[in-house]
Formats: sequence, structure tokens, C-alpha cells
Amino acid sequence: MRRKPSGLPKRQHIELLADALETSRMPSAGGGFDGAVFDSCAARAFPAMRASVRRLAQAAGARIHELRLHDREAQCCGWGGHIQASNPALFDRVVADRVEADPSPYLVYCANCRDTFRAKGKTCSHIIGLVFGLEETGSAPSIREKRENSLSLVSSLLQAFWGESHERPQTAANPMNLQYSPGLQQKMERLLISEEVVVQGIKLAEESSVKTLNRDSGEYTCSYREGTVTYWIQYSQKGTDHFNVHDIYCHRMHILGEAE
Amino acid sequence: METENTADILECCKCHVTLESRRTDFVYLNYNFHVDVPRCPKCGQVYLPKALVEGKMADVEMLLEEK
Amino acid sequence: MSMSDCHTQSLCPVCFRLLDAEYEARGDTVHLCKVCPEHGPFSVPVWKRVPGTPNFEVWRATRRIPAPPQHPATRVHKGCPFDCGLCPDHAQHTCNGIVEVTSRCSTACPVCYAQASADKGGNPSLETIRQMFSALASASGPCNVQISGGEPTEREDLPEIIRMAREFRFGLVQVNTNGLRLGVEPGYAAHLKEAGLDSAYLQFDTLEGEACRTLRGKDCIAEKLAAVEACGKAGLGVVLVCTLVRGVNEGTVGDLLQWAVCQGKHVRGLHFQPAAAFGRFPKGMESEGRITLPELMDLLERQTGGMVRIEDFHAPSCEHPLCSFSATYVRLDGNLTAARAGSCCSASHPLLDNAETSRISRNFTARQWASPRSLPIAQYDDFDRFIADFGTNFFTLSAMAFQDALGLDIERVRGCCIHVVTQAGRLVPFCLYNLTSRDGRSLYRSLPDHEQPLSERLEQA
Repeated sequence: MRRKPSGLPKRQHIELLADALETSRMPSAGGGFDGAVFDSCAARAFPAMRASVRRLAQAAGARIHELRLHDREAQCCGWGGHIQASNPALFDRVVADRVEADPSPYLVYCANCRDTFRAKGKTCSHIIGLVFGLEETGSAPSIREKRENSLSLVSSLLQAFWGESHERPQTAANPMNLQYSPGLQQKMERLLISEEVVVQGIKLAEESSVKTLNRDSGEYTCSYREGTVTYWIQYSQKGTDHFNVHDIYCHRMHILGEAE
Repeated sequence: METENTADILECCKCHVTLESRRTDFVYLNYNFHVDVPRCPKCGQVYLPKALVEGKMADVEMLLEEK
Repeated sequence: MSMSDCHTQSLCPVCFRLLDAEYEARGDTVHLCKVCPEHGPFSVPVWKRVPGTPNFEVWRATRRIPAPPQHPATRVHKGCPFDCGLCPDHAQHTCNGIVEVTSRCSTACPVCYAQASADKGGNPSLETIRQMFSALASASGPCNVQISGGEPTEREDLPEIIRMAREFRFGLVQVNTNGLRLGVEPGYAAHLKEAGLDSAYLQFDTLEGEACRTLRGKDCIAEKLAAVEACGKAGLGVVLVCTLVRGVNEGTVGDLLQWAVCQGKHVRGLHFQPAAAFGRFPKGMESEGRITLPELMDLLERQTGGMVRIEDFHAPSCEHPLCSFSATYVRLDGNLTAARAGSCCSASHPLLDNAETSRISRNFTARQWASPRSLPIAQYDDFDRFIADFGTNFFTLSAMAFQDALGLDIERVRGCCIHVVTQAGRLVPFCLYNLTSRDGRSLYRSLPDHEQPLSERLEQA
């Protein structure tokens, strides 16, 4: 999105939704929910938003109670800082701590909280799902799916409300044909490595020949840096623009004096 | 460290030269390290083995990131 | 200049009446001000902001989730600070439990918060001491314990006391000592180490004879240097503790630090304690004699030519921000480098959970103040060496601002994590335990240890 539409009040979407639902008295479907509100850490600074979630939940017929640390004292679900990628053991401990804080299901209003808890088997509902009676089963969306969904939403909103068409950037349109070895895509999800990195890394390596060949295995290795992270991609060529991706590993440490 | 043997079977695709085990400097969060890893003797391209990156390097990063 | 949220409570330094108090900024100095209806107004400098040092309000601003004691020994009756034991209103767990095993000390220094001397009363029996350890362990779990006094090394049964402490699951067992016996008696340090001691909290104010004479009554630097060496040989960690008195040793803090950094890996840190007006104390504590934390930060940076910098120092996350500052460094070739990041998250107005911060602080102290142990891994390269040695070459530089009756802030006291264990097994925050009035009367220390809480005794008086 290049610019925000003007004339909208400066409020959080949840508050707007709460107001809208209260005025229109839409039927809501949360009667089956009995659990604790897990506040988004970002919402510590937004008391009206936190209150709106509770209003909405109650109006939808849900029974909610508070965790020991809630509202201004809300804790991070574990997603913060992407520690999942840099310190998986710590991530597991943090999430376990949050999940075990209360045996009842959680009501969240952040998609990251939802995905983090679901991945560890905690029953939780997102406020939108609760209010609109949406079925929320299945595993969390992949990095690519999340990106796709966000971009689709942007396109739809721009079209529907501002009459604008949206130029979708070429994301994981996958001009290359990439075959991932078994388990590798799950590893990438766990380490928050997007497919885009693999595409760019291989593209650059192929164009510049800055890659190494393992003579025994016939496998190539290239590196690709994005921000603080350096990724190492191990792959082999199957045909024109067709590659088998064998492995990928990464680090934050910076290598000095690399080749250009 | 197996880098000595690893380097032999690796070839730089730009220079078509076998990699050699060379001292390489790393820096992270104000700490400096140097470790021998396979590098192209001509252009300096680095190869980091998975065992190093997912092993000792990751341990060091986590220790440094500890507050 | 007005400040937000500057109200608190304090005590009258003459009669110990509870008073409303206020932090007031006058020019570059923040004072704690209060008025006793009977004894008039009092004010002391608490934070003198030298250019480049942190702003009082910014430093002080943390929101805390209080961690009340899991097993309070007293109930709330008259309210803070009269119901210590700990009472249910206390807001922080125990990081360090202080167990005083004697009131005697033959050096009887001119400056002594405990007012120890050679002829001070009888020593508590081993059975009493065991009960004190037991009370601490029950109330506070695996906290760190400091065996203190008087001078604990003047008890022949100190090794036995240390062995006893080890029977409980304390994190770190440390002895608070002037170091004289450690320095003078061959094998003594090893003997204490063998009994289970981890660390010596070693009184070390200066490298100058004259200053030592002023503070300690005699020049005993040679003995203290020998103590540092003996501890190193015996595998004991050493924390050097410097009592700072204006006009005596504040001009050599840089020298002391630079010297400390060049000692062995077993010297784990240097801790400064600006003198305060309790026990036996120097003149001038009502105003110009006080050294506030930002002044010390500035002295350290200037006197070390910037080896340490003011921006390295951060507020504590365990005790109240106004109580201390610290920095952890990597010690390399006689220099301190790579100051490690302090507390995390939301740099402005962080929210801290006291239960968590006390646990982190306690664990850090237990690891850092004991003598370092290298991991026995094969060391082929820089990564291996780093992993093996990680934490062994950290050096902590810190300072603690004690509260006397003039500067007492009830909010700070409630957040205190250093608790003295009384002979009846109660826990009292350190500054309250040592608090004395203008005429030398104790709030807690010298009072006979009845079962009644202090506030009930005050009512009956």
C-alpha cells in the first residue's frame, strides 16, 4: 500500500469492529467459549482495544476470565523477537510457560499468538473467529500463505472501498521450479526462512557463478545475505530453471572480508 | 575440525579452483572470532559447512544473544 | 522544576515517625525532602546529575509487578516499615540472605554499618545459626546466602557454619570479610573452600595506605592483597567491596578498578558502596559528604579515561532502580570491553515482573560471584574457546546506594531483595535492619529479638 486513505478515525480495527457490532446487533456465535483472554503484548499500550475485545467476546456470548498477568502486564506469547529461529529451546520454554499459565482455552486477538499457541496444541480462538462463528481448525498458515493472504486482503480492500487496483509485487510466483527434499520446507517454516530467500539465493548464484561445487556429490552451495541473516543453500540442478533444494542453514554472525 | 578434508572436494565455480582451509574472521555483537574454513584461494569465496553453522556457531550466537 | 510521581514516604531521622516525603529537583540535584511535625524539615541529595549522566526520572521509571513473600512471617499491622519479618506487603523476593554469625570484629573500623567491635556480646550458637539458615531456606528457597557479622573469620567454627549452610539448597555461599585472616593465615582460604565456600565478599577500599588507615584504623593493604591471592589459589571467587567516603578515596576509584581488572579471573567484580549515615559513619552525611550514584558513574568514566563509560551502566531490574547501577564486561588483557546489554524490552518505561527479575538476578550472582569453572571441551578454535570460557571472564562493576534515615524511601525498601535474617528467623530488608536514628538508636538491629513484630512493641512503648 502506498498511502493510507484519509478521513478514517485513528482507532484500532478491533475497536471499530466492536462499535459496529454493537450498533448493528449482528448475531454472534461465541456462546460455546469459556476461557481466558490472552492479551497481545502490542496491546499493552492500547487500553481501548483491550476493552473492545472483552466487550465483543461478552456480546458474542462467550464466558471469559483474566489471566494473572493481563492488560498492561500482558506477556509476550513467545513470537516476539523471532526467538523461534534463534533460540528454539528458549522459545519452547516461553510458549510452554504461557500455555500452562491457565488450563482453559485462550481467546486471542493476534494471529501470531494464535499460531504460536495452536502449534503447541493449546486450544485457542481468535476474536474474529469467535464473533463470526468461523471454523478454526487445521495447522497455521505457512509463511508464503500468510503473505499471500495479506496481499489478497490488501487488493480486495483497495478495490472494494477505494476503487483502486493493486499492483501485486511478484512474490513467490516461483519462476523457478524448486523441488525441496523431504522435511526441508517444515525446517524452513520453523526457522522462519521464506521461499523467496531460496529463489533469490539460487538466482544470484547461477547468474554470478559465486557458488561452490562439491565434486563428490555434485551439490552446489551458495550464500545469500538478507539483513542480519546469512543463508546457505545447498542445491543441485535438474534442468533449466529446475533445482533440487537439499538443505538450508543460516546464521546471524557476520563474515568479514567476503568475496564480492 | 573436518574443514581440512572438506576443502579438498570443494571447487569455486567462479574461478574453477579447489578451496583451501583459510583463516576467516567473524564478528557478532562486538565480539571477534577467527576460524579456519574452506575458501577460494583466488577470489576469497567462503564455504561454511552445515555442521559448523548449526553447531558451534549457533552455540556462540545464542550465548552472545543471552542478556 | 516539578517532577511527575515524586511522592513517597520516609521516616524522621530523630524519632522514626512515618512522614510523607517528596523528591524535589533543585538545579542539578534531586533531594529527598520531608517535614517532621516535631523535628522540622530534612532534605538530602539523592541524585546529583553531573553532565552526561542519566536523568533521575528516566532512571527511576520502571513499572514493577510486585512479588510478595510466599511465606510472610508477620502480618501488616502498623504498615511499612514497622512490620518486617517479611510482611505480606513486601514486593520482592530474597536474592541475598544475610546471616550474621557474630557482632564481634577486632578491627572495629571507624566506618562500620554494623557497629561491630571486639567486645560486642556473645556469638549466636551453632544451633541458632542452623535455625537462621533454615528460616531463610523456608522463606526464600534457593537464594544466595552471605555469612556476615562483625567479622565471621574470627569464629573458629566458621568452616562448620559454611558446611551447615551447604546442607540447604542455597545458590551461592559467600562470606563477608575484611580478608585479614585469609591473607595472613596459610591454608585458611583452602580450608574454607573445602568446607563449601564459593566466594569472598572482600572489603577493599583503596590501594593507598593513608586512606586505609582513615577508613579501617590501620594500613592493612598488604594483608588484603595476600587475601586476594590466597582466594585465587584456593579457587574462591572474590568480589571486591569498596566503601566510598568523600575526601578519602573517591579520587582513586579509577585506579582501584584498573588494578582489579588486572587480577586473576577469580576476581569477579568491584562493588562500590558510598558511605551512608548508619552505624558508625563519617561526618558530612547530611549533605556535602554524600556521593550519589551519577557522581560515581562520572568519576569512573573520567578516572579510567573512558575504559568504562557512563552509558554502560544500567539500572537494576531486581531491586529498586534508585538502589544501584551495574555493568557487566568482558575482561581482556587488563581492559574491560564489550559491556553486555542490560535489561531488555521497551527501553522507556519497561514493565518488570519482580518474581522473574529476582530469580534471574539470583542465578546471575550465583554464577558470576563464584570462581569460574571452564567447561572441559576440546578447544580447537575461537568458537570452542569462547564456549568453554563463556562467563568465566566476566567482570561486574556495580554500586549500591544504601538508605539511611535521611534518605529512606519506603518504596525502595519494599522492593529490597537483600534480607538480613534475625536470630528469631525473621527477614528484614538490609537498610531497615541497619537503620539508626540521629542519636544512634536502631530501628531493628539492636532490639531484643522478641516474637512480637516491631510495630506492636512501638504501640506498647
